[in-house]
Amino acid sequence: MSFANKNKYIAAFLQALCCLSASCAVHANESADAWELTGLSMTSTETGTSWQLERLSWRQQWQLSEVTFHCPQPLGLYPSHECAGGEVAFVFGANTHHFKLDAMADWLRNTWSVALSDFAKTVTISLDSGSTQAQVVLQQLPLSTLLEMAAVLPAAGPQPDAQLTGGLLLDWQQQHVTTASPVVFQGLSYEHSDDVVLAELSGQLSAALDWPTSDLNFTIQLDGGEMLFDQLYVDFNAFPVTIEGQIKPVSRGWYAVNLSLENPQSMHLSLAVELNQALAWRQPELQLQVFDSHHFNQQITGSILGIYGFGGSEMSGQFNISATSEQGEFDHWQMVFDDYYFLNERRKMAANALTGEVQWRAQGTAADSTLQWQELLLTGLPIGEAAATFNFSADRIHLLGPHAFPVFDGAIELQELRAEKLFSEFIDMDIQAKVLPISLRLITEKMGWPVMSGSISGDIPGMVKRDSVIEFLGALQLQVFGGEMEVANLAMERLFGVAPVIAGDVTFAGFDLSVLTETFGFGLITGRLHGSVMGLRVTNWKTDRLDAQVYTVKTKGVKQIISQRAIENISSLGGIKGAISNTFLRFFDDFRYRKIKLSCRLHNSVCLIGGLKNQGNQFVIVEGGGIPKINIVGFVRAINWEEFISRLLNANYN
Amino acid sequence: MNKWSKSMLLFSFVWVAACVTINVYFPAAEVENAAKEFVEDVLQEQPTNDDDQSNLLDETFMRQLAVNMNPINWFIGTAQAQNQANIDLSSPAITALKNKMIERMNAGLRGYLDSGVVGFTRDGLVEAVDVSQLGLKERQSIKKLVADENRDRDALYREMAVANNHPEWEAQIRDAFVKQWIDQAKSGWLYQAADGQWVKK
Repeated sequence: MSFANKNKYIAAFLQALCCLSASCAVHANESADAWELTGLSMTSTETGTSWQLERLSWRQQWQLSEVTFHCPQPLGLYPSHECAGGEVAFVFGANTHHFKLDAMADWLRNTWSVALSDFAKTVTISLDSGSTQAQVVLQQLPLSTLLEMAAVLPAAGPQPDAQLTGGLLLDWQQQHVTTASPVVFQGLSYEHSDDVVLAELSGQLSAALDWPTSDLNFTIQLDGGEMLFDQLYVDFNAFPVTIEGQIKPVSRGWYAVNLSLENPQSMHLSLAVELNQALAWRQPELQLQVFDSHHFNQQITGSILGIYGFGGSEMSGQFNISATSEQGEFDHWQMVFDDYYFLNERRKMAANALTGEVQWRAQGTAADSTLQWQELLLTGLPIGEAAATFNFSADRIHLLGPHAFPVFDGAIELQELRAEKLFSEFIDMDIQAKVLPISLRLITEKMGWPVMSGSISGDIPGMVKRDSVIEFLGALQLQVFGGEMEVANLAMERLFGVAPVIAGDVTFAGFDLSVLTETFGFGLITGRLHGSVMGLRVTNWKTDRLDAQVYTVKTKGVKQIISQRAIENISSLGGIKGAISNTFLRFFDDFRYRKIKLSCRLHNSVCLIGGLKNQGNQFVIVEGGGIPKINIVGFVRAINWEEFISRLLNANYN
Repeated sequence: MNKWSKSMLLFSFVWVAACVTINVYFPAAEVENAAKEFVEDVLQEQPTNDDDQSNLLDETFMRQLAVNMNPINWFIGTAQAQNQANIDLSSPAITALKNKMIERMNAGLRGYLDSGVVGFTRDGLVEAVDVSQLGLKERQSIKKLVADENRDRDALYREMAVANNHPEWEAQIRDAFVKQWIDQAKSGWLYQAADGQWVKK
């Protein structure tokens, strides 16, 4: 046998070994000079034939050492050679590998074939002289075995695992590796940390690798198992995904990676990024199209929103998100909504038919954004059909031009809205806004309160947000019940969170008592009412604490009259029924009064009540004037707030 | 200046320097008691069987019964309560938060504390410490459970301070609760020591 022929045979042998070692870059038609072997010894006896090689290398790039081959039969080497059930062992990388080998060579016909397999028959590699391709058959091959063969297992830490079944074709002439049939994988598991875990993934893989150009194309279908990536949980049984990818070199050490992920029911995601071998990345671009946000929310966003206290949210419609990198990483974002619907009943948040786009840039000025909607609900405040144009750049957002947002039959008119330091604990907000008259009837109906008449209007001063607290700068001026109301120190806390709080100090003057009492169906009282509610704190939409007092102020031209029904109702607050109707006073429809005063200091659901001339447990609520003169005197100072409110609001039903 | 005057002057300086006024504004003991009471309520295991009368005649029950039956204690108990500083535990917000925390504790959080999955942090919150034995879906649900509990706890410390008219006490109230969560943790529960290490009680 010539040395060249022998080398050809050994080269084929080496190809098979190298292929098993996942390094199939060896050419059968390489010149003999490419090969180098040292320490070859051969022994042939009646019990078999053995070869030993100290080292076998190819162009000093690939090297096997301590190569031993044993054939259980005595072998002839020329003109033909055949071995069935041979065993081969070698050291590649840090590992020693053992395989079965069936080999045949006919030097006269210049044909040969080699079939290598592991002892469990999980991987078999077949090569012959009639083809430029090696066939690799995987049968329940453990992924860990494959990685061990390729000497790419991490030295320590969690090891990925899976079972692989399928076929590969390795064309050494074209230097091309493809999957002959999709490689089916099952039980693919990997735990990087408690928060980054793949569990029991299953699916199939098709791939093609062109070795000279290093181009890799692959398709992975994931249809089983689960994944947890920080706050993102995916159950691939319910949310199967097809991943298509292309990887090709673009410059020295850098590869362009294009990935697309698709769930046929709800989303398509594409990602383009450049990676180097150290997995550093640059110029990423991402596009997410959600064409069925109901399904996407059920499977993906619902569990994430739950972590932020927005569990149970409902969505429908479409939205797209794209993120590109112009100067930094993902420094330009665009979010497009198309007939999008969102509802979170617990947080009183909703958007209906939301359409438009939001643009944001980390540096410089972003393009203007526009959103329009049919209905919005912001922590219970319903905003009618409108549109907003604004600019959102870096940590600043400002509304472009005056806007009017309809609220019931009125509106909130914003002349200026500008917020800065959005991503810090302290958000500065400049706001110039007016509340155009809104009917109290509509507001109170919506809130489920007793229906009030009159309207609310006024100016909204500036705002600042610190942590979860939004504080209004200055005082909110409102015109209501024919008088003036000022809300100072207005603050909202955890507005979108647990136990939301509204706090403030309210003072008012000149309320028309006839309008007010008509509102509550309390029985007519005329006069002008002044008062204050200091330290008001409403938690979970229920009054938590306050220190309030209301009193009438004699005003020129305004009569101070209280009706019989109003007296009955005020009396009934103290549990007395028929205070007047059982006496001769029932023949009078109304009475004159000199002054009315009522105060309440609410703490721990107990209202410490007071009025005029507080003495011990005694206090005067209504001091009569004229004849007949009627005083209403209270004797119980501490009353249960809920009970008091219940009696007040239901007075008209007595 | 004669010797007597000098002595008096010196004495006056010493006297003035020795008069130091210490203003104690934060009622630490009362807040600790309030926190203790709150944490007891939250951590108290709810009886799973209303008909359970296994402790009907045990020593604790009989002692409690004797105390309650003694008419003198009806007045003494009231007087003691009235003498304490007024630390509020019962604003509507605090009550709502406590009810949610009790509900959450009985709905699953106690089980995770028992199994060492969740522990008490050194800043009065809870944290998932070891989820390695749990499936991925359960790990995700624990993130929500922990986030919900921590939102309530943050709100609680704030509301406790506000309910007592001292929002600036929030940090001290939180500290009082940290101590109580750890003191009242059951044996085997995990808590975070001051140096950040997790410790099994």
